Amino acid sequence: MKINENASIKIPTKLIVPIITFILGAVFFYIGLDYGFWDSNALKPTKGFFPTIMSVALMIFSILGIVNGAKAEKVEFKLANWFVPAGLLAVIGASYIIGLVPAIIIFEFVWLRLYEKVSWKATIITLAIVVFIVVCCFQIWLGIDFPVGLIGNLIFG
Amino acid sequence: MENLSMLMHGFSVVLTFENVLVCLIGALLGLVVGAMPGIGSLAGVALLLPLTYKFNPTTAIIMLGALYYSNMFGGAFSAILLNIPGDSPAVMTALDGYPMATTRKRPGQALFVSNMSSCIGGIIGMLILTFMGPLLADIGLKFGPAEMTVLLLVAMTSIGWLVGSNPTNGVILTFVGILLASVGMDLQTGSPRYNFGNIYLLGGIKFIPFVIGAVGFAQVMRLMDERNDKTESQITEKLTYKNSLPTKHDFKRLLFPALRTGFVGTFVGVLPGAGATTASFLGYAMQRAFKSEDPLGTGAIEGIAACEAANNAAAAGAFAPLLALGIPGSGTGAVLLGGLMMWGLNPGPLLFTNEPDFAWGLIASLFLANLFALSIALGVIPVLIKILTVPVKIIIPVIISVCLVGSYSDTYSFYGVLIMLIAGVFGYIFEKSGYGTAPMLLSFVLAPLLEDNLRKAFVISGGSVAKVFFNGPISIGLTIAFCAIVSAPIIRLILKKAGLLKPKKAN
Repeated sequence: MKINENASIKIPTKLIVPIITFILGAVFFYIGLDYGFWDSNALKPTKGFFPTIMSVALMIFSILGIVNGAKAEKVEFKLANWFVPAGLLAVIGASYIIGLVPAIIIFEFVWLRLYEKVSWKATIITLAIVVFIVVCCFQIWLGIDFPVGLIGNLIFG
Repeated sequence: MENLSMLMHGFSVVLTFENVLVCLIGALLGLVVGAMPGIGSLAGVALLLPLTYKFNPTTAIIMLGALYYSNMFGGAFSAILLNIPGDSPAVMTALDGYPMATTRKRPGQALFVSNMSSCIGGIIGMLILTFMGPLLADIGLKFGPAEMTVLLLVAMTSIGWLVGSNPTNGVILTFVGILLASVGMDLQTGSPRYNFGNIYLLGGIKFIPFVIGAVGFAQVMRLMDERNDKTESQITEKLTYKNSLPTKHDFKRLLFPALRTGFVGTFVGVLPGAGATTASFLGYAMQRAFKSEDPLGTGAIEGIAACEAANNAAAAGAFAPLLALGIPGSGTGAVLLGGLMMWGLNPGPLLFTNEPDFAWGLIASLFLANLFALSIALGVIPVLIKILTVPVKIIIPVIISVCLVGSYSDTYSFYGVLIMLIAGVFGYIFEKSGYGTAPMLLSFVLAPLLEDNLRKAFVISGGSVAKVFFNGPISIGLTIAFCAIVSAPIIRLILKKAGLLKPKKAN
């Protein structure tokens, strides 16, 4: 099955975004009130004081955003842009089995060579740069232990 | 004179092997990131943050400062050679840079003029920063919690208002950033807040994965639109160091515009929300009032010099409020501030007194970064076309991997990666819908400081709102400014509804 990466969908996000921020404000407001607003004995604000005020402000401005966004044009989202988070999720999934570093190397190879059809020379140079960044900079120099995955655990215990 | 002796002390801090080396690396990376169209200084600084874990705070911020500053040099390269600005401040450089490189067939000289002007503008900005930083800090010392509260509110909302085309959208994301920063622990009582029973959220939303996602990952998603664009240069001349040297007359032409706009650009950089892009536009506009040997827009040296000096001066000037008041003027400044806080430093009026090694070391490192950036920029002229024409489709998977390992290394778990992914996807949707994420980053960083000052101010005032917002002349002035900023979108909407203001065409 061939995927048409130029496929796109138009969504009214200029309206949806302020609706989401309004809901976010409402949730923070509701929970914030539960935390308490003002300690009348000690005459000081409680932990809900600041977020409650800010959530009210967010709700007010979100209503303005909703009014502005109601008549705005829909925004076009192309399928190709979503390959980026999809690729990331694939690497995360693969890292549980083969480990993070091999998963990144395979991802780079698949993306460059199979998806973008970049030349072998450019693929190898790019892979070398990525390996240098991940292994030399992060793993060796910064001492980050990346997950070795199920297979790595079986081999190295 | 005291400032100059402190600057000398700063140089003694910077001139260690490690600091000089990281400054050089920062300058080199900044030039490359700035030169590549589409990445920009904000994403560059965000992606580099995890690499600074190994360093002490001074060394780490020297690297980031050098990267941010030299980015301004790099942005001009693609503007001059490809007519594609590497970063928004370089938009104006393209107006004269590209015609000088193509129509006038002087690409090397255009690059040389741009680099020299950037260096001159930067030096002016840094000299003013040397004197103005401590002066601002002295003013800041007079600010109590009430004044700081209103100042922070003004800074946060004004950036939300100034950045992007729609003030309402900017202010909405400002408040979103504030609320996201409230997740985790209440710093004054040490009790959990908005963690929704999740153990990971007890530590709050981690800054590095959040910023890598909202800036770097969102940017990669956007870059997918440009991945098939061909970046080919129209320049036929071979770029060599020898044929790039400007004449004595060229130097005379660039000097005065660079000096003039360098001075103005510094003060524009100090203003919140204005930054290097505004300085560059203003510098170019200012040059129109002065005589240019060739008409502006046809490859005039004066045009390149004016905007390049202004944007580099603004980049240096932006450090004054960042260090002295703890208030960044841009999204990149917010990332730098977040980095400082991560390393336990609290920029603000006491920074110059409590952490002189750090404050003056950073200022001195900017001078060093300026020289490094100039040397590297001139040195890479012969290979510049090759660097600039690296296809976007090759850069995309590399940045995805850097985002992944960078966010993983902050938390040593996929929790950081998850935050990065969510922030990235939302950052992308926000940007596509006309909501610039810079105000959100800024408010995310400044929210703890704002909350701390607000709560202190209310304790001092015994709960009186008037005593917080109308405490004295400074508070009153800032409160009026704050009210004007937040009420502007509401007034605009009412005027629009009443038919007194023509509605903008939806984009």
